[in-house]
Amino acid sequence: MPRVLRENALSLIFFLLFALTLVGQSLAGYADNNEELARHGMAAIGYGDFVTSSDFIVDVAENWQSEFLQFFLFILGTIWLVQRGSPESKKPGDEGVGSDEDQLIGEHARAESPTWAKVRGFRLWLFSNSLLLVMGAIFLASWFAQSLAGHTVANEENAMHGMPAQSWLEYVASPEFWNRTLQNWQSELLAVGAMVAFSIFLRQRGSSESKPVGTPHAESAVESE
Amino acid sequence: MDQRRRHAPADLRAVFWLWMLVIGCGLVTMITLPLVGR
Repeated sequence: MPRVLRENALSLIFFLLFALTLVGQSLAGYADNNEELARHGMAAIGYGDFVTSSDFIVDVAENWQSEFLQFFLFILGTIWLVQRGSPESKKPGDEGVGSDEDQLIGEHARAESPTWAKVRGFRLWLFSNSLLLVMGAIFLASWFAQSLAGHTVANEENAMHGMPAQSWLEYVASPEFWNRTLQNWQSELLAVGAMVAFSIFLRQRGSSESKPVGTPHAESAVESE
Repeated sequence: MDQRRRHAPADLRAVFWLWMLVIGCGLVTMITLPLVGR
């Protein structure tokens, strides 16, 4: 395998899997949507119409938002909270944002450190929090997209059943919006919490998500190094 | 300091921007289409 592919395999394989599953979701959703239309005695729509419809967008966006919320909360939580024995966590006593020396910033930066790690002020603050800020921004934008598309879908349903249209604000306060939202949040939080707790006692040899197999249960991978 | 030390390697930049672009375009699309009545 060429060096460039091997050194970027993790992100590229996940990108490929993401693209394939998104196409798969669109095909399954398209078939499901047309079955639903047929049940209501309505004409089938084309694939292009479906993938640009709010029906498809709301299903994509509600899953996106919860994934990015999961990482946002995990990145934020792991600054201040620890789980002894988990390789996902810093060790007890290391809670907080760390010293400038530990973080290699300002006068502690190395020659090859990113430029914004060497400066002070707003640029250093922005770069120091950029991962959390980007994940949070993607979460908010996808949650907003979910609300817009969900609102359109809800009003199509209302029209089909001869009910009055809802405003966007009414929709974001509706049980349907929160049902779609919370069913995704709960599963993300379950998986993250389980990963933190399981990784204390369980191992996967060779995975960066696991402690080395022989590491004592109460030690994190960082301590064992 | 040579060019390689000041800039991240091109393949790492490409991977970063691939994801940023796809997510960015995805979000713009998912926000715009419902707003234009799709």
